[in-house]
Amino acid sequence: MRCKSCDVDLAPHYSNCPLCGGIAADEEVKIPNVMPAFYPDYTSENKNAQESQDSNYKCVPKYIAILNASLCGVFTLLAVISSNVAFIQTAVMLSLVLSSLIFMFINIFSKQYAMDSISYSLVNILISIVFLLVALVSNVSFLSMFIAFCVSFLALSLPMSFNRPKNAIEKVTAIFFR
Amino acid sequence: MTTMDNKPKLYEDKPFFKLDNAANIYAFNGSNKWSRTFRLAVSLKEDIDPNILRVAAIETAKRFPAFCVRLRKGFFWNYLERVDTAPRVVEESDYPYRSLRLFDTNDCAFRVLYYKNRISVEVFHGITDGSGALSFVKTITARYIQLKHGVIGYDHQILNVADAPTEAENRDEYLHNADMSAAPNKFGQLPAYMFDEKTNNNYAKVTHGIIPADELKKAARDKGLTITEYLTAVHMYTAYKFANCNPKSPIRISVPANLRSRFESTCVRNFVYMSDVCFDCCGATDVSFDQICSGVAGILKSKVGSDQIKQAFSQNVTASENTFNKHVPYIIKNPVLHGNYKKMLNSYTMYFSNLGQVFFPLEIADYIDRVDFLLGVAPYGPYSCACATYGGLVNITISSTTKDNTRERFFFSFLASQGIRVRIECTDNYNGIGGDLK
Repeated sequence: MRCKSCDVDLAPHYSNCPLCGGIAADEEVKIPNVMPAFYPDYTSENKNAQESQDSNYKCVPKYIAILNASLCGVFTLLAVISSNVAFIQTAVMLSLVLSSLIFMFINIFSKQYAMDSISYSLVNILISIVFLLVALVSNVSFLSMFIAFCVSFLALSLPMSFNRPKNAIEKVTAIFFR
Repeated sequence: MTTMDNKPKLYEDKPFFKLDNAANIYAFNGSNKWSRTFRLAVSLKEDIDPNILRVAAIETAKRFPAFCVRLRKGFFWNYLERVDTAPRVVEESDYPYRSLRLFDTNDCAFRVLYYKNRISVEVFHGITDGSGALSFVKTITARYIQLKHGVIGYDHQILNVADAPTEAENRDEYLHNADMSAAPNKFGQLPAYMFDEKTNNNYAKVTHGIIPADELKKAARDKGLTITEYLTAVHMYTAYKFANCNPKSPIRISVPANLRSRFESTCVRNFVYMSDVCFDCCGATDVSFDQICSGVAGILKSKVGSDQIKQAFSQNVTASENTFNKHVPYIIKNPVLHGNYKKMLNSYTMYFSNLGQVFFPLEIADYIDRVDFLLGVAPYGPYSCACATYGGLVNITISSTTKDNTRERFFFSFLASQGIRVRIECTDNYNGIGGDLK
């Protein structure tokens, strides 16, 4: 097939020239023995049914951070409003345990074994420090704070064991790379 | 999702890679929505078996550790972090050179696709250039043929997947070869003529023009040009006509030059110098193609001589290694870099990359039908062009995000008018948009 208007050969499956829209003339091509390249039908309705070219496995740091921050905010607010030492300790433990468990389940069900657990753990540790500062402002005893911190640390160690990062030191140094 | 087990110890254990000098630009502008991506595809003479291709891709990925990375945001710069997951091999179902997800992902910064008889590898430009990607796709193809037919052949680009990766293959050659005493480069180029066509999101069109290499070479020699210079001149002439013979700014085309042979490098990461060819008609409305050819002649050759090119990329390296770039947090220097990047994008009318002759060893050449090289478009420009030569045919591919076919039509019809036989294939049928240029 050829397009006389553009003076070019066309692949055999063309009935119209893709450049000008003119009807392809049934003439012998000037460059013989060239196999055409075929592309999928991008407009196909079945496209969505096919496996996506891109992976659905995405890291979820933002969602974890938002979740942690939300839990932190709610429990801090409740703790400050109540001014109750026991409630503050419960809040610290509960929020960290909850967020860590949710974090762990997301990791397990999405099979994200290789992602940056260290950065999420750092977020959790920062949140626990925020809680401890809140507890300090609320005149909680040092012993109570220490117990709360230990429980928090244990709660964090559970998801970390599921999601132990490889080359943890290099990963931390990589954050400050260059 | 599988992981790559039994990986050889050596260079593969490196947990992250510094971005090289060229990659800094792509990584700076890279996001999950848009990334500079290009495709290299090898078509075989038989349909692809996806299961064999998966095995070949996993084995090849182990051999190319610098490819199995994702982009991460660091405190001072972005960097490439190793990903342990195996590359996904899926059937092609979407537009070519679609952006890759670079951040917050466990996938590698490339994808392997198959469709009928074609193996395609789409790569983020931040991890490698055309030659590096060619080595990768040739290795996958060779390994696929070896697994399927039991024959194998090697050349300097087909790596043995049983070997361990070496430091020479994965190091930053810019830094290794740069003259650090060179004065830092400054972004001082004037804006270039830009096509003002409407680009379409979620749309990409590819137009292949297949041309006998000897005819193109003869046409180029008649004008005293190389093939790259000749095609650059045709692109310039097309842009000049497209601007109604009165472009307000110079037409400037970016043409990368491969530095591997000049510096005897075997690296598979970026090692190109982005040279440029500029033509300013200074208001003249009757510029002929011959005038453009005489303006283009020798420019690329003079710019990519060993001494000049070392000085040129050394300037880029020293600019990125200066105190401001090295020690100021990324969040602070981001606006400055963004301004420079935008200025750089506006100083090129389009990008044209010639991969040159692609060879396969005789043992496996019988299985190979054709090679396609597709360059993704820049965010502000609707066109880019790439070409590769295989089996005596030059495959020129114009990528665009506009539905208008006028420019492609003028380009290929002009080549036909010069006595060159042209064969056209396009991913999109003519849709009534566009027309003739005067």
